[in-house]
Amino acid sequence: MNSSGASLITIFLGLVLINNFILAKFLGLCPFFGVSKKLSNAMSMGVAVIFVMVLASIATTLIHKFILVRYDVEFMNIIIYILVIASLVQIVELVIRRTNIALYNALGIYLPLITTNCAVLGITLINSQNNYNLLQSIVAALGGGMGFTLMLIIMSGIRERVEYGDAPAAMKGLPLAFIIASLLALAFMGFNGMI
Amino acid sequence: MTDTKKEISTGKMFWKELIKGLVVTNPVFVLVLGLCPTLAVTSSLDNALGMSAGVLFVLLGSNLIISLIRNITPNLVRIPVFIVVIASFVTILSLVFEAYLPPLYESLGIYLPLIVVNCIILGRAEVFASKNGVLASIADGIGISIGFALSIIVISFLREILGTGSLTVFGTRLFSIPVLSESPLSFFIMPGGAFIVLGLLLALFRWLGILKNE
Amino acid sequence: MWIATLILTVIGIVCGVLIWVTNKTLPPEPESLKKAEELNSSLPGMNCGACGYPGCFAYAQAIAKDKNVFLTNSCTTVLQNEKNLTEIEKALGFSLGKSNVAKKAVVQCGGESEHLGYYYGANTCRSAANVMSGFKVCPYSCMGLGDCVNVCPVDAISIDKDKHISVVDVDKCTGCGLCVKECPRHLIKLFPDNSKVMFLCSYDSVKDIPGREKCGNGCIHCKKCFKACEYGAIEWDKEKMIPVFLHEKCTECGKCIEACPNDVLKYLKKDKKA
Repeated sequence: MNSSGASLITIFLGLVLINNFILAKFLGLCPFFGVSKKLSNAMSMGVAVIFVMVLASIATTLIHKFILVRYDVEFMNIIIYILVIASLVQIVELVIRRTNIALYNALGIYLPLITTNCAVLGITLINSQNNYNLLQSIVAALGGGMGFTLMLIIMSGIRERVEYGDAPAAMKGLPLAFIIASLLALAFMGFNGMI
Repeated sequence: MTDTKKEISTGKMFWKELIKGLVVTNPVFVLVLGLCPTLAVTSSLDNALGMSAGVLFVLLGSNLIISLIRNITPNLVRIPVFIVVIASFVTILSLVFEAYLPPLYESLGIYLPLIVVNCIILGRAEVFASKNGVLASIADGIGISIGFALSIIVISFLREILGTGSLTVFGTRLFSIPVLSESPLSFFIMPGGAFIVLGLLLALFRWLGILKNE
Repeated sequence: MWIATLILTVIGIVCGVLIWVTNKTLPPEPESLKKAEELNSSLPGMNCGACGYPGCFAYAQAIAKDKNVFLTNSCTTVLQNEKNLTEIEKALGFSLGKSNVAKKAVVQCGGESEHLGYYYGANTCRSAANVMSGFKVCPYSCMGLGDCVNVCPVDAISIDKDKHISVVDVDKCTGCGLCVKECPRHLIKLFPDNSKVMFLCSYDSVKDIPGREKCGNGCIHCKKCFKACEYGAIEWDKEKMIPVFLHEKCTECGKCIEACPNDVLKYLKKDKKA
């Protein structure tokens, strides 16, 4: 199968700035609004997401190429991808818990949240839709994860400050976060002509 | 005598669970779950209707199966079993849409398979279907999907009217607003518009106190 | 169709085997982690951070490794809960004794100070305290903007909207001390649980000339409470010119509270309101 021929830099920048996972593709929104209240939590969550996305991309691209396409059962991709992601997260959590407790305390609590994160399943589906080869899908996963982390950091920085403002009671918390996100989306639309 | 009494109580319970899904535990405005499809498919009314039908099918099916097998699944593999059941239903849905409704399948894109990781469905399976009987789970499934459907229909209604100035359902143009359709506010079709419509509606409902978050 | 089922089954089995193999080949859960789990079940699980550790589980790991940590740095919420305290003492193998008494936080300000004007700045006490000397006439007053409310892990602090001060609900307070660190004017202090009468004014009379015009709830050093006590439970601090309470001698007769002309004194436990 011919890969789509997009260069690695195009894929990377495309997923970080233009088709940002949160602002343009709406993937990974639940943790975005949940974890973005403190900067330290946001960083840990972002790193955990990048890690899981890269591993999941590698595993699912290999399965897609060597099993699904060869035996012509591409419609099974949803079930198989989610099974693989769930098992992967379980194994990673086991490994971290047994070997490095400090790391587990910092990142480990976010790992179960990532299993049902739209961003992880989303990147695997994007990879198989665009028929990326292994290197391209790793770069795509890195790009998607970094875009997600970037948004998480920006959002938590803004929300920490907005906490002190005098918002009306109905707007406090989540509605205000949505409006901030919409302004960010508007701002990032400026990158559209880059590629 | 006791038989009819039991029938009445199950009937009442059925409707109670149904209404609960609409207002008290409205998935979009109260639980604030499943944001990914809510914002992505509400850019047009067609997509919203298609997604509601899809969620209804998957939620109903998965609630039914999970409440049937809830007593025989070991606790350790509970979550993977739920995910596999939900994923099977989503695969069936995806194949049906691909075969019989290709334009809807195209426009929903990757958001159709992403129903698997929709927090609403896994959440209801975890919280409700694994602990309650078959009839209650079905009622809850119908209630939650109707609540979800109404919510995203409201959002897509607003977004499509403001963003394109006209309302089109499955190819037939329902109506169009004269001034707005010539120079529509296309911001509302874009991602920024999605966020702001949802944020303002959330604030509105919180203010009205109708859909109170506990 | 059979191929699809076969592939799904095979991949499922492979995933399951991988998880099982990882479980077996990795080093077993460290001993301290198992003990930490057991201790963690007796901890409140609020993750308030008052002990200095990032969460209850980290504290459980610390005391599992070294039981003396519990002696020097006891979790104040556990101290208040008999059941949890005995569970932890049994698990660690020693008894804390009566040396550690539960503590409660008290906001030492009555709040009747007049306002100098409207405050339109950032909605936090830390900012308001730096604008001149606050927006109330008394420069040592509580501003009621809620920094302590936000930091309390058990929601024990609320704002009294009429007086613009914060009030601690003594029943809910666990004595963790997070509000003590948060208040920019250091108005909140921890007192032992068995205290009876509280002195609610933080005006520093050594530096400033006292005056009733500063606040309707402020101490004017009239000594009426000192004279009213028949049991010798109040002593007079001559330097600061405020009463000092000896709670062991107090019989809660209420005479000092009645005698005070500015309502500066209150009971710690509210059900004993005079």
